[in-house]
Amino acid sequence: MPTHKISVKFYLDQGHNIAPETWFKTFNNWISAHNGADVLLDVADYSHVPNGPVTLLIGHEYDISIDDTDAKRGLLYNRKQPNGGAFAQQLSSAVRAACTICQRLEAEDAVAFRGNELRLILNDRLNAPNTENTHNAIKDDLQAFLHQLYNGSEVIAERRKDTGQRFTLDIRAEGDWSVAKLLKNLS
Amino acid sequence: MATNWKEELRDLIPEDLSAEIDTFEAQIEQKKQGQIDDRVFAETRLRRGVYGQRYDNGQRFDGQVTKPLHYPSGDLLKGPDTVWDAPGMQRIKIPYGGLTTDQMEVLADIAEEYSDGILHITTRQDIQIHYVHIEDTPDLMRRLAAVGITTREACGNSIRNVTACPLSGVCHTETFDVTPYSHALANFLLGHPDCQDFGRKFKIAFSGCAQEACGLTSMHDMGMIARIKDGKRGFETYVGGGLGAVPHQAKLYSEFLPPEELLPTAQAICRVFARLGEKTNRARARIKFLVAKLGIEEFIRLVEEERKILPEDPAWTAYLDNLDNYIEEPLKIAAPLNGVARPKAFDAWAETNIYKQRQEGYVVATICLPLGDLTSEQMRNLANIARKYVKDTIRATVEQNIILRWVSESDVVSLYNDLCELGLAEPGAGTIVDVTACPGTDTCKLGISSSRGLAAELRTQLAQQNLQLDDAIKNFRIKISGCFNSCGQHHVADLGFYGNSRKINGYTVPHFQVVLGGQWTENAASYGLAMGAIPSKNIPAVIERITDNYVENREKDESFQAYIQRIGKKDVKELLQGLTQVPAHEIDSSYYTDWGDIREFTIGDMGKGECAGEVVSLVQFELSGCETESFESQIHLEEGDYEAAYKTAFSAMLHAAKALVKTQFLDVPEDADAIVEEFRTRFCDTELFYNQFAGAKFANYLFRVHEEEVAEYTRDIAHQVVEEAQLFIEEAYACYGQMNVV
Repeated sequence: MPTHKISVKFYLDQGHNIAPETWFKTFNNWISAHNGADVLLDVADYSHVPNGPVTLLIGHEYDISIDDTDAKRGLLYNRKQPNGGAFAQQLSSAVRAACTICQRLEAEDAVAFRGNELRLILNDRLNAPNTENTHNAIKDDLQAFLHQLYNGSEVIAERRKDTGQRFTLDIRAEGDWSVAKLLKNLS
Repeated sequence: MATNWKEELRDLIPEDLSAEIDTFEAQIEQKKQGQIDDRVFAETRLRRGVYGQRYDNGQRFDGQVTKPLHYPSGDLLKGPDTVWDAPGMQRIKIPYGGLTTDQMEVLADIAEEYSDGILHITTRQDIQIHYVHIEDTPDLMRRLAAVGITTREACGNSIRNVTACPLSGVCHTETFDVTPYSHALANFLLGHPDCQDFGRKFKIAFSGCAQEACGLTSMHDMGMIARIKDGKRGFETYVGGGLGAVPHQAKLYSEFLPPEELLPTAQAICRVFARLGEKTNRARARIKFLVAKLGIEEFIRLVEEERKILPEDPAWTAYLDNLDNYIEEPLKIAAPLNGVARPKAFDAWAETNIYKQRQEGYVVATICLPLGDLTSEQMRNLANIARKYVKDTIRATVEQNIILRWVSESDVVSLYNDLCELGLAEPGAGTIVDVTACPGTDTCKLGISSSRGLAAELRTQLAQQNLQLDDAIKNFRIKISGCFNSCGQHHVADLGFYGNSRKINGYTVPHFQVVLGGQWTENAASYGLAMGAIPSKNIPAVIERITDNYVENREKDESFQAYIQRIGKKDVKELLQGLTQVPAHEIDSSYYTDWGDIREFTIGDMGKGECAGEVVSLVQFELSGCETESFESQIHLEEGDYEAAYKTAFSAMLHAAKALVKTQFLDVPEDADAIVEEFRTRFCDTELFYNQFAGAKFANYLFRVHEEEVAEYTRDIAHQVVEEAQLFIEEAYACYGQMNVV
């Protein structure tokens, strides 16, 4: 079965013009205020690199970045350490974590994220190569999860076909979904 | 489908490299079980390129207070004061900077899966990735090994990446292409027994000609410049150069070293360095101090003496037969760029980023990387672009860029358009905007001030002014180090800076020492002059004042180096008047934070650097390797592979014996008979290896197994030898301890 190394990206709806310095400050403040069991370590500024991680919050269990890949800015949550449970649970917990972070940014930095579109990446070419086999292996878990996430709305999941890339699905749902609504659906 | 990378890549990794990585993986397991000393493990991982990173001591200053980082690994360490779970840096050696497209793709993949998706080109043609967990490193190494890359000896007290001029073979002024020679020397010295007992690192560079910057041979421990004498190739050879806190210009070792003497001479130099180099005082352990202490004449005499007694090695000259195998070929035919429509910014890019090769119709294109960084996605797509225009003729440069060689002139506009799509068509390669910086406080434990933060700021400011900049300063080099250790090569820049700090009004304020007038050309022929420390936030103003003054007051065609020498320190000081002042915190608090940071500045985040590695004696290091073999033999035993258990345990004993013999006889042969015989004569007959209660019992384990002929490898037979190997290694440690007491 695939992997715990799951990345989830939600795209910005509002707040594209926020300067990297602001994100940098926000993430630094999160480290200062952090009192969870997970480890938040440092913030890296990569705003000089086009179409990459603009600002990166490095943790032990996961990284968070404001990410410009494909020139589409969003919040990327990248799980590094196992989070317990089978793939379905790991997937659910990664998406929930990403939504929670988006919601926190919405509260602090006057941004908004589009909940109806997300990118899912399995960051593990050994256990989850970008193949139809991997897609088949996760299909049932994914469908069940997306059904819950979008409360039964129609969802399209498109796989990037370039075999050099990691297994990546671009997911779009019918309707208007905020991250708050998604979190509610997952609760 | 394979369930691990070891299995997946089994057929693609050379056997010896595969075994090395397996051993490192076993050492990681041993360390977790508390079976390896912290210092020994630190040096072990460093010699695999697995480096520490800032905050790996388990704490970080958040701008107000220093807070502990509660990693799940708790007290488990991967070196002195280095927490196991703390992410680290992986340095990846790229000899002479040469890359293939397959390698670029794997580099992109591993940065994505084990790091933060960013690849960093270093000032010595290496590639570094950051925030890597130590337990991911064996797989990462396997994936690199499958495309011909080793991380062995990328850090630690070893032969570091061998660098060479990136234009070798296509340059107009070179004497000949040094690439195959640098490749041969790098291969020869990799893991060489004579390079395992240094007090510090050892850096080698090759240059095709004397007058350009090329290999920067003057600032290397050993530098070679191509020469022709009587129609024969050879090298003007230098030794004992280096930057760091105390820069030394390399001394001439030989005006002409023939190629057949290149490898043995390097070997002899390494032996002299290992034998006589400083081991205790880390600040004076580089070879430059040894050369200075002995004097170059005495150093040469010692090396020549050593050279005479080196056991003959066929590898010294074997590579000469293969020199012609190194051929670079273009993918496309040479054709001029005729009538193709040029995009708006193309000419500005081409002016700085295109170098016409000496081969008519071909050019070198420089991909200018801000701060030496590119994303995995960019690296992967750059590999695809390279496939479209060239044949694996790609190199990383010491100016932290990547070049594509052998691009047909007719393809230059098309290449430019492709690079634009990736955000990789920045102009200004090799100019004042192409600022070089070491990682500094971003990730380095030794960083004092933010070299990358300052570099990013200068790059932005200078790029905005670029069109207005006077031609006299456009090609200046700016190089920045986060501390005095010179990883940013500030000594050889026109405008160099290295981080330090000053205590002002009860606050620690980030500063940079200003170093002016270093010479990049002629292989870094002279070093700049330190002019004083200036608050970080005033460095852009320093550059403006100095360059304006140079443009206004230089004498006809006067170089910047000559201008600085002429006006002297006193005038420079006057010129910078006012810029040393730091306003009170309540008036302008920005001076009290560094570039690219929002936290109040501190030097409390600095840790113990790992540049110097850990001084672990050769015997200790080798005995630790024997313990790993012994550990592996136990695993074979548990898995029911009795033959492997038996043979690995014997090998562990044999290597322990060899490690001891080496203390008396450096050239102990590799075969088992010779090792056992030397051990018997030197350690058993002399009762050096002699337990006060058990006598020669442990030595006899080795002798018995050596002579034993096993008809069938049963569990009992294997188990006995596995147990004996452990005891033999223990006794070897005891013996070495007694030798040192004596």
